[in-house]
Order: sequence, then C-alpha cells, then structure tokens
Amino acid sequence: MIFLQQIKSSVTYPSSISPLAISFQQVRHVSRRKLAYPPKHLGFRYNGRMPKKNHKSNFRFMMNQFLGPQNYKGEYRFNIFSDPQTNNETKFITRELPGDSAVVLPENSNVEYPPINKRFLSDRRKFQPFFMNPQLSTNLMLTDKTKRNIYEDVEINKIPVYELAFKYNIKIPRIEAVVKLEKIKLSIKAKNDQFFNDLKKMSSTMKKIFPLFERHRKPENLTEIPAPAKTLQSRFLTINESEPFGPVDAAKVFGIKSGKETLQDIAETEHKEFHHEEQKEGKEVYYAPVLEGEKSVFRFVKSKVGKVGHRYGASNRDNKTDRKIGFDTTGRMVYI
Amino acid sequence: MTRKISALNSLSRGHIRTSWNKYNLFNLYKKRNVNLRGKSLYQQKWYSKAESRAYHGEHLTEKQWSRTFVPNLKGVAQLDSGLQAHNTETPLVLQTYAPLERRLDFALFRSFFASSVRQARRFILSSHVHVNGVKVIQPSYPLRPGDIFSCNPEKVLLALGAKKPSVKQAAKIDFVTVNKWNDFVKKAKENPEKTWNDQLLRKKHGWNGEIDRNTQRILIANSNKVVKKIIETEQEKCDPELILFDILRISSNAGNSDVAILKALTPKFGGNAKKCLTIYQDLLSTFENEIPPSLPNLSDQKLSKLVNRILGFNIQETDKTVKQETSTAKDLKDPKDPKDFKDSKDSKQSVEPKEQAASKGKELVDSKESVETNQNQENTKVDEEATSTFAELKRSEIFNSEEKKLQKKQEKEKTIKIKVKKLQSVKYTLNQITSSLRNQIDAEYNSKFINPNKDNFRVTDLVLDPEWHKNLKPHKPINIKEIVEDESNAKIFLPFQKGLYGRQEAEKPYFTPWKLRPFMGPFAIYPHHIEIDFDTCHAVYLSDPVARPGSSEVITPFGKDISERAFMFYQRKRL
Repeated sequence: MIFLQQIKSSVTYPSSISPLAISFQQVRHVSRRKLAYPPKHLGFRYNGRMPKKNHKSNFRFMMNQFLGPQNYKGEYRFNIFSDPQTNNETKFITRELPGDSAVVLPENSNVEYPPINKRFLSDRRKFQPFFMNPQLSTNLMLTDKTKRNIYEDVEINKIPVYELAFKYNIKIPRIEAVVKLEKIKLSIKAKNDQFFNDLKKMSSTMKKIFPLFERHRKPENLTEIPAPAKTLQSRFLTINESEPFGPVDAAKVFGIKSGKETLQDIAETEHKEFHHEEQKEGKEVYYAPVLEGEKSVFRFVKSKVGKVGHRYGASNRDNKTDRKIGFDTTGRMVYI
Repeated sequence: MTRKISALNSLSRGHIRTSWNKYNLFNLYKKRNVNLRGKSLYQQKWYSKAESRAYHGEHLTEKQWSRTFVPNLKGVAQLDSGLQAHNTETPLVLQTYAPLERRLDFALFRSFFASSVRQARRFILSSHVHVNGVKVIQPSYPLRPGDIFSCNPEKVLLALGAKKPSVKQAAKIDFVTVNKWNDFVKKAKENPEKTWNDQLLRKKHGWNGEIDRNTQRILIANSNKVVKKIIETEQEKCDPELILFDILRISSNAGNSDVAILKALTPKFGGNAKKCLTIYQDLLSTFENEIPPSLPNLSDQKLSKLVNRILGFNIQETDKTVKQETSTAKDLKDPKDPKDFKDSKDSKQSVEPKEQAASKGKELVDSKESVETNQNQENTKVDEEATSTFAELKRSEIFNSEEKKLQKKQEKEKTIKIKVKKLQSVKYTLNQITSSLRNQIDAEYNSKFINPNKDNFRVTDLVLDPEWHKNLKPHKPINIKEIVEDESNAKIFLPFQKGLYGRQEAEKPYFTPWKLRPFMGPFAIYPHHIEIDFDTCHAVYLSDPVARPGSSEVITPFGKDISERAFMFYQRKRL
C-alpha cells in the first residue's frame, strides 16, 4: 500500500481528469482484489461505527444484520427467508425493490407478513430466482393430480403421448418422464421402511415451495425443435429477385427436414430415441456377412487413420494424464 | 479429485456457490455486479471467468472444466409464428456452463437430492446414487436424455433436513424450553385472556413464517368449535326470566325518571331499550301489590323469586282463584235458579237444600253465620212453621250478602283478567326481545366462523376459548448433566415436543421429527431439464438445458455480460 501511495503522489493529474479515473493497471505485486462489501443502498451498518465495541469483523457484523436475531434454539425467526414457503409461491431475493428487507423485526413491522411490495411483483419477476439474471426463470411443478391423470391417460386410456402433449400443454419428454416416475412410485409404494414417514413429510413440504404449473396460464411451447447444427453457419445462395424463398426452401438448401416434418418425427418416435439418433449422427457401422467356418460376426466402424488404435512405435498411453474416459452400460468407467 | 477447498464461504470474497447455506445466501444477497469499467478486455474476461466459475463447477480444476467445455452452444428454434414476432434475442452465451449440467453430481444438486454439488459428489462416491437402476460411483457421469437417476432417501432427508443438534445442545435448549413452558402455564392460569392475546400478537408480528395448511386447519377448527360453544351459552343466557331480571334490576337502580331508565337500559339492550322500559312500566302499574317498594335494594335471590312469581307462579295462582271462584259461583247459582227453588219448596225434605247451601257456603260465609244456621236447623225441629219462615228470611239474607261478595269476586276476576292480559303482553314483548337478542348473537358470532380453506387467513381472526388454559400442565424441570451422561434420561413430554429437541429418533442422522433446513426459499428453483419425484427420490433427466428466445434453462446467477466474457475466455484456442 505504501508503494501504491507513492505512485499516487508522484502522478500529476491534469485538472480535467479526476484522480479516480486513472487506471493503476501498470502497478504490479499489489492486490487489486476488492472486498465484497454490499452495495450502499442495502443499508448495512459497519462495525467500527457502532458505539458499543465488539470484536466481530465487518462482514460477520453485516451478516448478523441480514440474518436477524437468533433465538435460543438457534433459529432466525425474523428473517423472511428462514422458513420455507407453504403456498406454492416463490421467495426469491428481490433486493432491488424499495423498502425490501430480509429481516422483519416486531418493533419495525406495522404491516402483516408478507411485506406489501412482494404482492405486486410481476409474474416474470416472481419466477426470476437471481436478480442479476433476468433471462432465467424457475420451472413450474406439476401437481400430483396432473401426474396421476397423465399416467392414467397413457397406461389405462392408451392415449398417444403427442395427443397428451396438446391436451396438457406439456412437452413430450416431460410427459414420458412423468409416466416413468409414476410407475416407479407405484412399485415402491408398498415399501414401508423406517424413513417412510419422514419421506412423506419431506415430499409434502417440498411440494409447497415451488410454483405450480397451470396449463392455460403458462403453457409449455410445443413447437420448439432443436436448432439444427447446419443452420448455425451461413450459406450464400444466388436466386432471382422475383423468386419466392421461404423456410421450406431454406430447409432444402441446408439439406435438412422442414420444421413440420421434424415436429412430426419428434411426436411419433420416442423423444429419447430421437435425441440419441441426433447424437450418433455420422457414425457408420458395417456388419460383415458371416461366411462359412466363421465363428463370429465382424463389425466394422468407420474411423480415421490415427484416431483409432495404436500406431506402431507409439508408446502405451495408459498413464497419460487426463485420459479421455467413458462409461459402459453397467456404469463402470472405461478408458476410451 | 476435487479441487481443494479454499475460502468456500468467505464473506469478504463474496463468491456465489452451488450450495444452500446461510453464508452463500448472504453472499448472494449482497452481490455487486462485477465492475467491468476501466478494465482491459482480458481483465474483463478474467474477472467474469472467476466469478462464474466460483458457481459453476467450483470443485473442478480448471483443466477438468476446460476439457468439459463445448464451444457449440445449444439453442432451440421456435416454429410458433406468434412467438417469433417478438424477435427477442436468444441468450446463447448463458449456455456456456450447460455441459456441466449433464454431470451426475450437478443433476443431483439441481434435483434437491443434495444440499451442494460437493455433497452430491460425496453421495455418489459412497454408492448412494443409481442411474437407470445401476449403481454409479462417478460424479462426472454424463447423463443422457431419458435417464432415471435416484438417491438413497436417507441421504436426501439428511441433505434437505435441518441439522441434528448434539445431546448437549439439545439438553440446553430443552432446559430453556421447559422453563419457558412453565412460565407460560403459570401466566395462562393467572391471566388467560391476556396470555392468549399476547400469543396472537407474537404470531402476528414476530412469526414471519406462514402457518402451514394443516396447522391452519386445526387452529380454524378449534376456533370454530369455540364460536359454536359461545353461541350456545349466549343463547342460553337469552332467557325471558333472565332478561326480566336484568330489566328490573337495571331500571329500579336507575331511578324514577323514564329518561334515566332508558339511558341505563340502552347499553345492555340497545334497540330494545324502549320495549324494556314499557315492560317495566307495565309491571309497576299492574303488579303494585306484588312488587315491593324496596326493589332497588332487593337481593339477587329475592329478585329472581319475584321474577318467577310474576312470570309463572302468578298465572297459576290467578288460574286457581278464577277456578275456585267459578266453582263457587256455580254452586251459588243452583239455589238461585227458580226451578231449583221450586223443587226445594215442593219437596218434603226442605232442609236438605238449606243444609247444602249452608255447607257449601261454609267457605265463603263467616263462622258465626254458620253457627246461626245450625241453631236454626235445631229450631226447625221445634216449630216447623216458624222455622220455615225463618229459613226463608235467612236464605234471602244469605243471598243478599253472597251477591255482594259475588260482585266483589267478579271485580277481582276482572282485575285478574286485566293482569293476565297485561302479563301476556309483557311476555310477548319479552319473547320479542329474546328473539331479537338471539338474532343479534347469531349475527355477531356467525361472522366469526372461519372458512377452513380461507387463503388470507390471519391468526388475529381466531376466537379465544375461555377454557383453553385448563388443560395446560407444568413440566418437571430437567437436569442437563444427567441427560448429557445418558440420553435415555431425557423424559420430555411437552404438548409440542416429545423427547429431546431434534433428537426424537436419535439414531437418525438428521433433525427428528424431520423439518426442512432453513433458508431454502431463495434456492427453490425447479429445473427445466429435470423432472423430480420427491415421493421416491427419483428424477428423470429430460434433456440438456437449452436457450430459447428471451430465456435460458441453465441455472446461473450471472447475466449475459458475465457469461459472454466467460465464454470468450474459454473459447480461445488452446494448444
């Protein structure tokens, strides 16, 4: 710090430039890491300015202000984040709102909980978990009843999944997942172990802390398709000015299926399979015909020279650091 | 191998981590945006990378992460033309850390099966996690769409549950709890109403957590029971006798002027005060003899007797007297009848009607007269003629006196009839008052019934049960030393707690009876790419998180500016 001060004093600033605007990028060996003090508008007090002396650090002192007083059980009853919500509403940090405080002390509160400003939040802000990232919103949880209805529609009424997607406004993979989980639930239900009651309480508590899915109010977008890799690059094409050119023509130029066909494919084939096909694209496999006297089937996978196997003379690379790994069907790690 | 932990929850560094603890919450709450002004591009990239990496895969070394990093960011195209019209940008840069979300440890944390990614990693390594029914012990196992993964419920309960206190901590807490409980019981017994109101105030201001539905229902059911009971008792109080008692007591104490009486009656009877006043006036005028002048000083017992006499006994009495009078009138009517008189004249035994008249008029005629008649009877034997004339004379005398008496009786009867009529009208108005008071009670208390499914329920709406404190019993004080030596010594039976605090089932690794850990609210983000089932601790990995116009599925606290620079940092071509 002495060194920094020396530099500061040696620099002569022009009258128009404030000394704060000068960058000290050239200074070496001096930590420019700033301590993470909260912004001023949050109104946290500093320890040094308190009349009564205590030995807490400023950060600990501020954290205590944030958490509020602790009762003899060690609970922070006056902190609004301490207890979970039980009404399927969110309780995200909304510190940008005026008058928003994490602690509601009895002497300061003339209003009943919840604080008034939280009631008038827009839906978008209600579902936004982090104040710095407006592009993120929490997903909505399906109710037990919806899950049960979906399961019955698929398993008992035998309604196709893509029809259900339109009926419930839920994407196909989610419907498939719900059916799988419901099946598991039914198979496990008979079990009654020592954790059964606690588990029941846990699940009922957790089901109250997420906002619920409403198919008419917040439907999922069923027209989404994965952006085709080929469309991420630009392609130039010369066409007549009078020639019509639409999305279907563009799909032809790129050599991919049109959106309508892709959607139909997703609806008809199981989503998982579709996804896998997409991932496996480009791998060519050839099974050789079994000839007389041969004991096994030969499988040939198209590969590039140098990318597979060991070149003669190359060292054994078992002990190479950060060797690429994969997993077999039993979940065991294997070197690729 | 994980990266070494260094200053994971440092408040001065203030990094946000993938964890739900209170330090992390405070760091998130006080987070400032990274100041990118006045920094070179590389510095901007470096700071952005440092901030975002502290959250995304903090436990991975830089080398591990950079091998996972994929520069091709995943987005989705929307075919719905209505959505395309908004022309919002797709925040593809937020997909920078999307490859990490495929890792099993991240998926476990995102599904709320572990309280931090580091804990998720430990669960996986200690064989508590299965993928598609197969045990997987690699935290980096990449999930594929459609994969079902599950975690041991015991571990999930541990991760989501509150911290289990040590025996010493629990004993210390219970020592205070028991003392507080005993103080509370003492206070409640001494002053039940004030204690109840204090509790409500505490709940109104101090208790910031919402009451869950079940306890809300129980509280409301109890309150409704109390209201029902109160209505029943209040209705019972609305008895005509009790009302008349009150009217007499209040009015007599108020003085003689009508205005003063009306003023005194108004607070108790409200709109019915005028009616009460007329009742009082009617009673005073009609029951002059029955109501003593010392009415204001009459004891409660005597006043209630008086009320009874006025309302019930008096009517019976009048009935009796009326009956008696009618019966005597009938008896007297017989000899008066000329036919009868003729018959008696004709008959040889003319003494019989005399005797009958004498005997029947016994009750009404004086004893002297009756003696005289007896003497006359004796004389008849001596001289029949003389006796007959004497008897006739006597008969006419008796009849004259009886007629007078009959007139008196009739007058009496008239006054009794008037009294009865007045009483009937008094009774009618009394009934009117009782019914109106009952309606008032209904109107007053029916509004205090609370709908069990009420959304904006307030604890202040609850109604006080006057006998709520009767079942409260003080607890025997506990000895901390004894409990610390042997946990089985702890015998705690409080109405809200059985066993040591948080150690009802001491063998379990979490707080029992189970409760959710604190500060979960701000971290309750339901993922878009995972479908979770909390009943079975199973989840399905739906797909890799994608970006769509206006939003991204990757859960990150950082905005586009930070993510963009972090992406630029890792996108560079490395040798």
